[in-house]
Amino acid sequence: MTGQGHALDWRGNVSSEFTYFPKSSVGTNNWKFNSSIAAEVELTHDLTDAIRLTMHPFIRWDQQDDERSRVGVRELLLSTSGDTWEFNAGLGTVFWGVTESRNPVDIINQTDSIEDIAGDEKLGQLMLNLKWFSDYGDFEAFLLPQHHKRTFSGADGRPFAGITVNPDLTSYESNQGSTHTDIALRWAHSFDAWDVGLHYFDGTSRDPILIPQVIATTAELAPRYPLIKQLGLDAQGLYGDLAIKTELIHQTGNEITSHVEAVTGLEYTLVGFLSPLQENDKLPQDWCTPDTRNILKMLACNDRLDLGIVLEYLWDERGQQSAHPFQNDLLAGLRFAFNDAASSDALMGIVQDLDGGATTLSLETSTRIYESYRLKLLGRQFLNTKEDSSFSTIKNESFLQLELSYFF
Amino acid sequence: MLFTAKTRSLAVAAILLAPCTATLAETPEERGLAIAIEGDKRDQGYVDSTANMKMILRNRAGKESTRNVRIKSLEVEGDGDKSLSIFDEPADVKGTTSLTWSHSTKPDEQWLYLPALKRVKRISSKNKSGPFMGSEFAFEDIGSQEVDKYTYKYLRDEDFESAKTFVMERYPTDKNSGYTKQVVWIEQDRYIALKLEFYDRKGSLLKTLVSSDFQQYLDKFWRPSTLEMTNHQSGKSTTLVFSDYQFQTGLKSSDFSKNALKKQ
Repeated sequence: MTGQGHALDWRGNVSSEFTYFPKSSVGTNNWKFNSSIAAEVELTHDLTDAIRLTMHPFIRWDQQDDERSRVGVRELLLSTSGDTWEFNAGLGTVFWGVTESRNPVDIINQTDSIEDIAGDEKLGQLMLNLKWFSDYGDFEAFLLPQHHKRTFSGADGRPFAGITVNPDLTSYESNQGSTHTDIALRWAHSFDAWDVGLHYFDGTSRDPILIPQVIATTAELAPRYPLIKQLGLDAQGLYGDLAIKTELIHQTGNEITSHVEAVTGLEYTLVGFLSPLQENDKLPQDWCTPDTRNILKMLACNDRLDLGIVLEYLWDERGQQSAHPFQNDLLAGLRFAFNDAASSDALMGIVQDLDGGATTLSLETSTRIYESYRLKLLGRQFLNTKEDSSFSTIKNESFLQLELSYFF
Repeated sequence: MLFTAKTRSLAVAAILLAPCTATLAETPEERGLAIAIEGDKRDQGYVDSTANMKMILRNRAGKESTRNVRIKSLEVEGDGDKSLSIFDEPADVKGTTSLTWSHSTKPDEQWLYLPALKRVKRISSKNKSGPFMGSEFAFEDIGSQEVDKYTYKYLRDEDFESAKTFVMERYPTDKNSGYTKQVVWIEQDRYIALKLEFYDRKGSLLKTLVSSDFQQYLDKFWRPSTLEMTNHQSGKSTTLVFSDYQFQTGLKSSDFSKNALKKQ
């Protein structure tokens, strides 16, 4: 992405991560400190005027969890396109969705849950993908010939779920196993303030059903991937500083309960929300001088600070039988953008299980240092987990993570 | 992260103000508007353009940080222009791209592509007064400068650094603007804005923009190579340096679609 003509472009980073768990975990992995080093680079190279190659390898070493120490490829993709069409073949990554907390419509790629507890990281998906852009919207078709298993922390990983998922015990509903060819179709279009997408998926689910198994004396979870049909809708409306977001899916299959899942909510941004204090002379005259060193005064006088308020409701018709913990939950979050030279930001959030299960508190903040580095602090606390909640095995876990990344 | 329309952007708009055909009994408001309309007319027909922009942020202590952005613009007949901004530096935002469709009669549309997430996000265009990439330029300073975005009032003729200029005030029509007033010095020969003063919502002088090193392209379009914005209240400043201006490069409407965002 540098220079003209895209002969060879790259973006990548090397990061080191330090995590501290103040309390002991259930089970045997009672370590409190972890460190990890990772590197990734996304390379794009125009092989000819018409064909682009994208490569995105990554590597991670983890001090405690062997499952997390690995080498992999998120993308290895050939692309070609015209004015009204695009064709991609190979390992690719695709994002669908509009909400902040969870993206039920985002079904093309498998989640790399071992990499990132938030589920934002994806594993490369083998695909043939054709897109066609028209006045009636953008149409897309996918053939997905190879299923990728979800990654899970090993027995030494934390937060520890009390019981380990053993990928060696994976089974599939399809008698073709992981080589069943899935298909997906999508249409997306913009109508003034609204961006709308509809999709259909027929193939092996990305979410496994986890079945407890006892082998010898060890209890483990065996992932089983059912065949599903999924119809989904995503929509975002933007009215000034207010964004309204919805994702909705309906899933059916022989081995799952037919059900609806939804995430819906809004995000409201208050631009320079402290600036009226100065404009209306609500602050003492001597506060807002450039020489101020008092943190409180500097904050009150920061007319560049934007505040975003995020509220989302997460729902799954199956209730406690859901394949994920967000069957009846509310997310409330505050997002601060400092708009400073270091592009500092902070995100505070709470996810409350409305069935009384669990509360998750989260704090994430980051800032740029020395032009090419970024320092990130992440804290998470799980509270009040009841015995029957999906989080029960990580009850009262908390951790603090510091990550320093060098970008190039 | 939105670089709105017209590479001429950067308050350069003010640059395109017109010849003074002062007729008798013309009010200062009519004369200001006539200058603005003629200036806008003079920049029509550029078709498309690309440029590299280096942004140098300086705090009070003189500490600098740098951003590099590539800008592509497409003229749209009968409506506001379309533009793409591709961020190359700082490295942590490398590949981040913003797309803006500016409109003359309805709100602009803006999208942001986040390469780490492969995610295209539609974002609000209402945020006009916020800082662009942490700099002393607000989004509205660098956005597409349509005639209708201000009302005008001609003040006087004045010499500015040995150039004859028109001095006029302009008042943003958008209630979300961070300014109550701007004062602009327009060179009478080439009809380019050499200097702009920005007055905040309390009516105090907030910033001064000085444009220099103008180059002419296609024997018609004048573009400044250097823009210097000084914030008098915070003591910070931002310099923009433009290079590699190209015009009529053959960019198409499909290069400014949401799908094209991912391919920059």
